Amino acid sequence: MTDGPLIVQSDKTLLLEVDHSDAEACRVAIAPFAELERAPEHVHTYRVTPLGLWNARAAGHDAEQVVDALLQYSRYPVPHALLVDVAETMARYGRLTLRNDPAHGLVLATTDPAVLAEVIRSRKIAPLLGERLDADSVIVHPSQRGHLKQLLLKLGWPAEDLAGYVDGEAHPMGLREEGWTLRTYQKDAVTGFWAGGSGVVVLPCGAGKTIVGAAAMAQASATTLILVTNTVSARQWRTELLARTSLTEAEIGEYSGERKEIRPVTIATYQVMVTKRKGEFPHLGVFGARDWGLIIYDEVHLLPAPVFRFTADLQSRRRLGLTATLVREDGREGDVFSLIGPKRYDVPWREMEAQGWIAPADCVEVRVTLSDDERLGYATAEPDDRYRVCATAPAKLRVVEALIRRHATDRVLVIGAYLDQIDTLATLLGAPAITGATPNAERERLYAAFRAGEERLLVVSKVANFSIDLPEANVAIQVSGTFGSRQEEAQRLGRILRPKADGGGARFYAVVARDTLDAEYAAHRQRFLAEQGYAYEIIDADDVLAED
Amino acid sequence: MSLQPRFVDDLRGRSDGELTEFFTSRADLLVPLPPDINTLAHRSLSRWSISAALAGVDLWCGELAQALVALGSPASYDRVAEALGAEPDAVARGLNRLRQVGLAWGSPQELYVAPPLTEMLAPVLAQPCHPQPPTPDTRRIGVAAVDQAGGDTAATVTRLVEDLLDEWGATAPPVLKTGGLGLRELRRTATVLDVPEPTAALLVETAYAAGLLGNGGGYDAQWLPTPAFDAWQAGSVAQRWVTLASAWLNCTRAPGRALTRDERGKTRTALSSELSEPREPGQRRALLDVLAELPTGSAADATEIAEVVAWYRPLDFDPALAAEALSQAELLGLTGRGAITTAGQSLLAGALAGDQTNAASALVPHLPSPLDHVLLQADLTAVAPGPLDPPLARELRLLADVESTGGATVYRFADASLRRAFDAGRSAGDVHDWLRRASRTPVPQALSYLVDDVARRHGRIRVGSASAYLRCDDEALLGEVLASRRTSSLRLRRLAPTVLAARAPVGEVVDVLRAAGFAPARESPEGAVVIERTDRRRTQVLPRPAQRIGRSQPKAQQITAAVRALRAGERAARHRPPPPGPAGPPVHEPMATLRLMRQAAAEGRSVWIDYLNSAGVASQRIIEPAFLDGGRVIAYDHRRGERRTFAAHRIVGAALLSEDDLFSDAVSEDEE
Repeated sequence: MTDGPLIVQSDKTLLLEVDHSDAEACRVAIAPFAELERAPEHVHTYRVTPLGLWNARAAGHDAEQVVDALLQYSRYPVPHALLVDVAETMARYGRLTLRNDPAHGLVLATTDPAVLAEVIRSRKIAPLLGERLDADSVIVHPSQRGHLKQLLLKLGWPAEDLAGYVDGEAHPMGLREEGWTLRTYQKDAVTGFWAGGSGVVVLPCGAGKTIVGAAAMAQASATTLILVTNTVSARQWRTELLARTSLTEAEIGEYSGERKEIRPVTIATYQVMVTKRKGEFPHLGVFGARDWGLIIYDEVHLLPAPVFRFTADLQSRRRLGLTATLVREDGREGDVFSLIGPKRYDVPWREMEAQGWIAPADCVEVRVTLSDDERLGYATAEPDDRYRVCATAPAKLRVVEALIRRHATDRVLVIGAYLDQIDTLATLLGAPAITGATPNAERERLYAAFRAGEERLLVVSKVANFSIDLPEANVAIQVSGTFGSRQEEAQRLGRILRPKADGGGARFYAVVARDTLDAEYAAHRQRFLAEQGYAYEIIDADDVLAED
Repeated sequence: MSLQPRFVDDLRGRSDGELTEFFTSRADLLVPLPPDINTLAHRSLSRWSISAALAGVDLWCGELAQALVALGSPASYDRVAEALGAEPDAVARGLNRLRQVGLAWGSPQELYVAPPLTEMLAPVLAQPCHPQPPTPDTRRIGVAAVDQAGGDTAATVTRLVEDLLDEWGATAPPVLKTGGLGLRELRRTATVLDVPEPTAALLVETAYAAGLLGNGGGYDAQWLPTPAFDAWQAGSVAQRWVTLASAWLNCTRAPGRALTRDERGKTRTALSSELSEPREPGQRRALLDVLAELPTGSAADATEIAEVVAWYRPLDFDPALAAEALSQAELLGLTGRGAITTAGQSLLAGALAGDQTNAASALVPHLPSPLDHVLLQADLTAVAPGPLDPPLARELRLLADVESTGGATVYRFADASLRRAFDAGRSAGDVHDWLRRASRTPVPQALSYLVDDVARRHGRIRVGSASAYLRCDDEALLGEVLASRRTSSLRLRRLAPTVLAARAPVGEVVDVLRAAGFAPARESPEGAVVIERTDRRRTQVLPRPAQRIGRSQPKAQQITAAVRALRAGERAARHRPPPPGPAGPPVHEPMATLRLMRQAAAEGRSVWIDYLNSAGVASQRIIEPAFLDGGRVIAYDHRRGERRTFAAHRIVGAALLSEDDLFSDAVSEDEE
């Protein structure tokens, strides 16, 4: 038995004991190929997946390095079968390459004719291919480049795409580093992306994904299409680009439900792209509206399926994916890998936090005991209605009030999922509410007021969850939320994780009704946060009220 | 010239020691004990005995025997050496061995081969020949690494077998009709144990070979742990491993054959008779012996080891089985990283001596030292970064569910797992104490809260059974009832100040209370007092028997039929019932019977029938069918003088009667 920090499990998870003296070195060694799955206080769990191994391979690591890392740091003998499996899986990447042949155009080539023979035999793949040139190569219809990559990945023979990119229409632009500079990791992220051609950069919320995007645009200096989740997010991108780059208002267009502008830099929303009319997607034409040199996908983990389909046809354009997490609720991580590209850069949240780029957050669960009437109401509620009944229990209101009094000088976001509850809270607290019904202009005005410190309290609904930038918020109080999906938690926490001007910490409260579904969902959230390594504290509502 | 006398002389000339050696390699000649040398020589030259002897010699001896056949008798050592182009020393060594086992005799200058061999062996001069066993390419692993790997595996295997039998003790799989273990059950077990299916089959077979698992017998036989399992569990890990490993070493079954397909394409199941293979232990042993002969701490490829074994016993070894047997040895920890472990060596030596204490003590230093602590985390997991002390592991398995296994074990605490612990009698205090002791780091707040939450809810609602309850606003009165000696038969228990529960049924409670001088009133399920009038007892409200709703008008046909039946009755009253006996030939076929009945009903005629009643008793009757209703004939029975229903299928013979028949019969009867 060696005394390594790593334990290899039979289900291909790796357990890393973080208090071990070699833990950091080990983390660096395994990070390229293993996805961090959970990071609670003592033992972190990484998972080795084929995608992870191929990501590592795409980043230039070979199987030997992976096996060495496992053998060097493992406390117990590593099952031989796992090592063989790792080597075999990694060897699968790059056996097939897509390249540009001067004579024949796009060609699928291989170093191993048997593999080529195997994939050509596949009934799904055969129609995408043209004439077989020799034992080692076959012509590919250029329009099928993306589709072919998707299918090859499914067959377990991911192709390395070396066919290069069209430059697109040149459009000079540059960063304006006035009063700020590109952070080291942001530079590394852009370098990593550019060297790889296309791919995904994984950065936590608040790590400046927009700036990485801007820097990539400056590097490309070509017309750019930016796809974002919604209009608010589109406006923020625009503001950010105007502030950080040499681009002017006339150069940036917005393609959304409200405006349809196509300019050298166009920011389009997923919403408008996937709007269907008569069974067609009329706005997907934006992809071909200009000779784009770069396409940026914001929040790649939310990329809707129709956009995937269209992206398959855009394989000759450079693509940059930005996201806080590669985990997709729909499990289509493989499509992100084959269509956008492999992971090019990744820094775990805690790492950034340790470097001071993200404010540390404390998470507190406040348990509220329901009154007898409320309990009876909950017990007799219809099954569909039970969560709403307990999540919107009036007993929570006093607790929220008390918490807000506790943070009298802080900028507070109150987050809820039910409109009635949001309205009640807004009235009770005398604060403005932002819901799906709030017009965009009003929303932006309120966000601006909050940023400027004119409003110190906002009550927001789910719409506020995605891509709004409120860096000054340092307290979030969640009163209700639907079904605790992993993403939603990441987003909510992201709201308050942005670095604070004063370097202070942030606090996340979840007000939860005891012994109800609400508490069950809270347990999911608690697990997620604990897995992300956040200290999670449980307090009783009575203590909050007593202190008040 | 007979060769046999020379052989008899050869044998006769042997010393006691040489004869002992002869018998050692020709064990079949011992039974029955040969009376004299002459008989021994005869018997040892039988074809059967010679082929057994041939199976016991190595490849080189076999090649020499073939050479002797090719060269013809008598030959000489020199001639054989020349013919094969082999070293004279090696030739002499091999031929001496052939003479020793009695496959050849004579002298180095004049050598005779046993006559049956000339028919059994092809006359071939092997080119090239193989005077030496092949030397396998060895890989140096190092004794320490080998023993460590073996020790880890041994610990894992004992744990897996324990888990397996614990699992089957709770949910035993049925014994298939053909005697084995169902494929689905094996898959389930593999999932539970988190091992590949072939490994699960090996574990099951090993436990079976060790006598820890047995067929429970009976009509619904199940595979169940035997009482020996309890004794095994009480032993140390090393002892337990020795039991398993030596059971595998000696078992006459081929666990590797489970899950493979037989000639008819059917999957062979574990624990079935299809896995029986008497040659297995010998082959296994031979393979491990070769491994044991390699330099210590060295491994070699299965194929090369198989080649060595094939040299030593060319006629009695199936090289195809080598890889499977060696991988089983690895899975069970007799070998580690392909080389035999120190404990494995001791086990092989012990198996011959029949004493395995050394093997157990050889294993002990290499077993992973069990941990006495776990790491508790705020995401409600506990990580045991290595094998745990068995009592610690057992308690943790009660408190939490296993999430992943391997070098470490990850456990997850959940509502259900903690509830299980509380159900098993642990209190919140016990759990908190245990967590504090088992963890080196402070217990995460989230976990303490979870324990308290589950404990708070656990057992708050109590459920029991009672047959009746007594309630009364006067607590003192209930106290009196409870204290009264005359109510003791009701087995009353106080649930609340104003409620008692009784184990006796309501009626008895009321009677006993009255007899004891109380005046109880019955209560309805809604809580109202039931007014009782003891003189008029009624059943509980019961559903009424099914009734026809509304009244339908009788059909005209029915009415005519009824009238006709009436008339027939009247007529019968005037006459004596006629004797049985048809005028025409009766019909027997059911359809014809029905046709005839229908005709009789329509024409209003009488019929003679041969009828079997429901008890199967035959009788002959004269009936006048009124109408047919499904398979029944409703008719007037002249003999009984009443309307009856006859089942058509029990009418085994029928014939129409004319009015004359009736009349004349009646008259003739009158005359009697």
